Amino acid sequence: MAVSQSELSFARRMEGMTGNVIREILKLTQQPDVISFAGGLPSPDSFPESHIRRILEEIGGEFTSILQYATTEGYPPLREFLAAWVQGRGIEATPDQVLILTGSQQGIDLACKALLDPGDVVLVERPTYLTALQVFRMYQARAVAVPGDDEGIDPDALEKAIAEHRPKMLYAVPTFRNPSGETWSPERRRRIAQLTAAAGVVVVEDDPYGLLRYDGQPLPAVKAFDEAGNIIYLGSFSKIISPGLRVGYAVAREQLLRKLVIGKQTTDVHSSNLSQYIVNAFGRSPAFQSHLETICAQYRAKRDRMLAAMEAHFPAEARWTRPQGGLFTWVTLPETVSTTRLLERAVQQKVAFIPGTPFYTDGGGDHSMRLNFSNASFAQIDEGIARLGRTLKEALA
Amino acid sequence: MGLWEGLFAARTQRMKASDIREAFKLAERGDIISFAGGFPSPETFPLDEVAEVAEGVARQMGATSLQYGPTEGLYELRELIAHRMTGEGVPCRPEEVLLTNGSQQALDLIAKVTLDPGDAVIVEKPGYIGGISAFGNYEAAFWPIPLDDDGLQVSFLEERLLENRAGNGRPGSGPKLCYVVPNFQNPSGVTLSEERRRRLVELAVRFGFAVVEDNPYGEIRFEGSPRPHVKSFDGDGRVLYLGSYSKVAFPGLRVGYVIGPEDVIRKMAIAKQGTDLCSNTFGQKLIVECEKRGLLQRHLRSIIDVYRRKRDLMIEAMGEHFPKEVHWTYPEGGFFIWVTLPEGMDAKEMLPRAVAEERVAYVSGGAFFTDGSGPNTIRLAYSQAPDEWIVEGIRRLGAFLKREMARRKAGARPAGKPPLEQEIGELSRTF
Repeated sequence: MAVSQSELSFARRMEGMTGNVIREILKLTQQPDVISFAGGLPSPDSFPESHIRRILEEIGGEFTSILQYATTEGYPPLREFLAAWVQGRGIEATPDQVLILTGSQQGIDLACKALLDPGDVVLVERPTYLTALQVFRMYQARAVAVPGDDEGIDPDALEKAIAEHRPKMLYAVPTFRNPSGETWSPERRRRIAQLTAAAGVVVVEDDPYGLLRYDGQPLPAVKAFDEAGNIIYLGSFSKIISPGLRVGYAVAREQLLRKLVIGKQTTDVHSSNLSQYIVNAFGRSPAFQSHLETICAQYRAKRDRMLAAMEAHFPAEARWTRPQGGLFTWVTLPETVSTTRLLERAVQQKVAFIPGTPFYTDGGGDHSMRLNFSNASFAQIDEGIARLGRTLKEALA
Repeated sequence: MGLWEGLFAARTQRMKASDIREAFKLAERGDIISFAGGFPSPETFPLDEVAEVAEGVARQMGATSLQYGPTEGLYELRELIAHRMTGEGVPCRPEEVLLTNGSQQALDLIAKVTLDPGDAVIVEKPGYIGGISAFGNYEAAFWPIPLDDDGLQVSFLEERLLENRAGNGRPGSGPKLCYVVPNFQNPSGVTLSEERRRRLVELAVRFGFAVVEDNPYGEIRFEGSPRPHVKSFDGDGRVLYLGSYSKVAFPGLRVGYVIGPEDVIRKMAIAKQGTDLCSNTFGQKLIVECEKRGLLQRHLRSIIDVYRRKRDLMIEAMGEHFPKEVHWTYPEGGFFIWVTLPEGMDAKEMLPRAVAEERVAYVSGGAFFTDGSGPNTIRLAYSQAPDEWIVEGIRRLGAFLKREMARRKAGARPAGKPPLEQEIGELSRTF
């Protein structure tokens, strides 16, 4: 069937926007026999279905306010709950400093909307979350990657990058990074909060995985070291309750938050009241804590299963991260391998991953790949990693 | 305002604080009769039926209801919408439908994918401020075109377009988009005539712009026959049609949609991915279930009766209580009546006194103009207030207007600053 076409000319910001790799691959992997380690999807068994069902059944009279328009900032009881909740991440906030988002992805978009003019520089980790890079491109900003190591961004390199590029913003996923699974050390967190505050750079700390910790001690958020008020903290319920609800949140001081609110007013007015109601009701129930423990146990086992399978099936030349939490492990292969080319072969073998390049601003990373361990079952992990191991060995042979 | 103020983008400096929130605050105050917010009436919500549908959705709920959904929206709902629109003279396929988080998101996405800073957008004068702001956020330049009782003055627009073409002749210097709310327009309540709809699309073809047809109120028609959609005259895919469940069903679930050529829909889906990945699944599932059970059609019939009664009450009360120098529109549907006061009156300046002296609120019309005109205009929404409040509120407003006119005649300035002024703020932008 012919695709209907318009004569409409698009904005310059849409140049080169032809859909990202995740999107195209996810379509590819919808065939039921493909084992996909590509998406960042939570496991379908992790959803608190019965709790949500009960909440839905018991809404009753609350429907009047759920169905009506509501304030842009979000459902007041949920904002209150979150102001207390983020104390667990070392963040002091009042309910007025919380904005409910349609998924934390919206926080990235709104921060860009408020802060970025075409040509502005955003500093990012190397590698970093690819859909964030897509948003920066859409605002015609220039993303510049700052080198780092397994403890996070290198403070000296950050200082240099700030001096050289005069960035408006630093975007990072400091805890169980997407895609590498690594986590910033407490010392780096403090140092980077100080450096950015001194230089007047806004930090967007994206923390969708922070509560999915399987080993080691919980660390305070970078936002916990925010003395100057330059850090926007983004949290999410997508990985710990359900992504279909689309509930995330931003925590920031009023002057920044106010700008996000104004942007949201013309973006979608407010997030779904029903979703906010469900998150608030479940978040405040005693079942939430035990639910978190259950999914951490579930994902810990899946991570261990995948790492063990990789040990058994991957070629000796492959290296990978051993994340203490989150959803991903990051595989590095010899430089002779192109994972972009490898993907096609892997999909023929009915297994999928995400090649490394889209996580880089400079075309790097083509010999690396991201694997998600949360979505597949044990059996799929065993079989999929075995298939992938064979594909890798063939490529290296 | 502090350390970070210099960091904000140029578009942010342009963003005026929206006062939607002020309207909400005012609406929540029990002692004030507010005709400000264009909210649906809560008495129209079919609570028991929705609760039943929600239970049904909960029972059938599987993991897919809770997982990430497709960016474009649930296919089932896209099919339902495509089917209905095809029946309304807009033949389309599900692939030409994108579900959005309320139709406000469609406005944002359209602006995002089409507008470069400085691009011109034709807007109605007065026009819906949420739409105008969405375009303004992407640094659009506005071409305000006045309305009369038949909607946008298309002849006036044609003159402007010809003048512009003669003026600089450069191709591509004309407007890129034309934004219209053709049915029971917000804020004026007027409806674009069929002839003008046809001519608007002809102009769009001739001068190479796209039309954004925003239709949240069209189904809420009290009398007369529905006009064909602007998009029904669209021969070459240049009309983007925006629909919403916010006014005909309920706004709190945030379900709206946009219909357009597949390449535009695809670009908007890419932009939506960066904005929120996908819309919430429950809202979409609830709407699907309501549609399947025929609940929305039944609901629509009952709300039309409710809103017609409210309009009649308000119009009748205005006839009885408003001074004869004041004029107003007679909407055949929707939520709004547009009031014009005598020249020289300043509705915005009067508003704090209306609240302080008579405990009644409206939206001052100046907010709906991009060029500073219309200070003597008022938007009244009859949609939300209970019936007895409509009559009482209009009685109070009439008394207030008469007093204000007498004050003007006497040249007297009201003494002192009304205590509520600060609290109300600038009550300007609302739905």
